[in-house]
Amino acid sequence: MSSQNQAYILSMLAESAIQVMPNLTTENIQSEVSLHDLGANSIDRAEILMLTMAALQLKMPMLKFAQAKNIGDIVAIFNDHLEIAAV
Amino acid sequence: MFNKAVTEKTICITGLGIVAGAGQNIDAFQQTLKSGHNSIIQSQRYPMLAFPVLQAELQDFNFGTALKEITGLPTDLENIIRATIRRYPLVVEAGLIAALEAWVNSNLISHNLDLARIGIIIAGQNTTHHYQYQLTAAFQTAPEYLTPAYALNFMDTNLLGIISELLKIQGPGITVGGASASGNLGIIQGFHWLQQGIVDVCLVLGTLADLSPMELQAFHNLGVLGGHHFAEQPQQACRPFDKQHEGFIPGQASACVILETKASADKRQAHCYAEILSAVTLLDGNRLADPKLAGEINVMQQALQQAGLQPTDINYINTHGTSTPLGDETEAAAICQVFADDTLKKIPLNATKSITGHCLWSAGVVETIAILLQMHANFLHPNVNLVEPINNNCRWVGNKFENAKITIAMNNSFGFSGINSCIVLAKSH
Repeated sequence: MSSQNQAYILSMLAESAIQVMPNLTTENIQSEVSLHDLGANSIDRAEILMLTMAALQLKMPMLKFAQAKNIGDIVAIFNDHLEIAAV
Repeated sequence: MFNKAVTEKTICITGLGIVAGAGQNIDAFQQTLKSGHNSIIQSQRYPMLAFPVLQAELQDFNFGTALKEITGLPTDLENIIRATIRRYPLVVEAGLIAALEAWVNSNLISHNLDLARIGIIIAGQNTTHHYQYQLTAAFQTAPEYLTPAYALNFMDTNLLGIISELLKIQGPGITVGGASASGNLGIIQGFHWLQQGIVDVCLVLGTLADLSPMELQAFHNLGVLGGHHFAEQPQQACRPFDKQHEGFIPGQASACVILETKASADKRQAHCYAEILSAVTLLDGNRLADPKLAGEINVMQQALQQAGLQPTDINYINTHGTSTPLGDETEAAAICQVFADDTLKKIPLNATKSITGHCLWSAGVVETIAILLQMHANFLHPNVNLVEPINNNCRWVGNKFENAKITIAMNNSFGFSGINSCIVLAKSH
C-alpha cells in the first residue's frame, strides 16, 4: 500500500485512540504495538475501530478485524477496504 | 420517650458522598445548606425548548479535578481510575466521585472485609435519556457508526459494573427505580439486605438526573414544572410550601450513603452517623402523577410503627416539599393528620429542595445526607423562599438557618405512580 495511505490511516487511528483513551499520545500509536498492549479493553478496541471507520468514511463489518494482531495489521485491513471503496 | 436498644442488627450509615449543583463534596454541601444559597439558574443546555428551563445545575464539574480533590483517596487507586476512565456520560462521572467520597469517608479504603459481603444499589432510573438524545441526530444520518460503548452506556447498570470493578465489590448489585422516591427506595432496599444478613455493607448511590429536552417538555406540558413567574429571578423560583409555589425546579446531584450493620461498623471501628430505625414504602394504587393524602398519612404512620415510636418522638421532618402546589398541600395536610396539633408545633419542618432543587432520582439520598449533616452540626437549614406558608399549623424553619439539636428525623419522598416512602433516622453518638 502507498505510504501516503498508510500515514493517513495511522493518523486517523491515532486520533480515534486518543479520543477513546485520553492518556495516550500519538507516539504510543506504532505499527508493532497492539491496542491491547496500550491498555484498550474489548469495548475500547471496538470504539476505536468504529471511530476510525467513520473518519475514513468506510462501512465494513467489525469481523474483518478479528485476526488483526497489531496496529499495523489494522491499518492494512483498512487500506484494503479504502482501495475497494476507491474503485 | 425513645429508648430503643442498639443491637447487632442495628443498621447504620457510615459514609457520605455528594456531587451537586449545591456543592461538589460533603463540606461544600453543608456550607450551602447553612447559607441557603441555591444555585438555580436559567439553563443554557436546552436551546430547542421554547420556554425557560430553570435548574439547579451541576456547573464547572471536571472529573479529573474532582478526583484529585477527594481527600484520602490513595494514589494507586486514583491512578487506576485515571487510566481506566473513558468518555463516560456525566451521570457516571458524578456518580463515581460521590461513591468514592463516601467510600473514603467511611474508611472502607483499607477494609479487609469479604468482597462478597458488600453490595451496591444504584438508586435511580432512566439515567441515560439525555445521553441517548445527544447521539440521535448522528445516528439518524449514519446508524452504522454508533459507538459500541452505547451497548453498555445506555443501561442504568453501567454504574454497577464500573463501581464494583474499581472498589472491588462482589456482593449483590442492582438498580432500584422509584421515580422521585428512588433515593429512599434504594436506602430501603439496602436496609432490607442488611437486616436479612445478605450483606454487611451496602453502598447506595443516588444517580444524577440529566434530563433530555423531551422529559422537560413533557413535565412542562403536564404542568408540574416551575419557573414561569420567576423565570427572570431563578433563585426565587423554587418555593416549597409557599403560596407562590408553581411547580418543581429540577436539580442535579449524585449522592451516596454507605449503609452498614452496627456489628460490622464496630468491628472495623467505623464512625456511625445515624441509625435507620425504619424504612417503609407503599403504593397508592394510582397510575397518575397526583399524590394521595391517605397514602402519605399511611406511610408515615407505618414508619413510626415499624420504628416502635410515637409521633411525639420525632423532633424533625425533612419534607419531600417540591414546590408543586398539589404536592406541597397534600404533604402538609398529611403531616397535620399524623401529628396532633400540639406535637406539630414542636416539630420543625424544612424542604431541602428549596436549596438543591428537585434532584429526582437522588433526592432521597441527598435529603438523608442533609439530615445527618444537620444532626451532627446542630443546625436546621432554612426554607428558602418560604415567605407566606400555605399552612400555618406547621412549624416551618425560617429563611435563615436555626441552631438545633436533632436526634430523631423523618425523611419523606413521594413519586409519580403513587409511590410513597418514609425513613426514620436516629442520630448516633
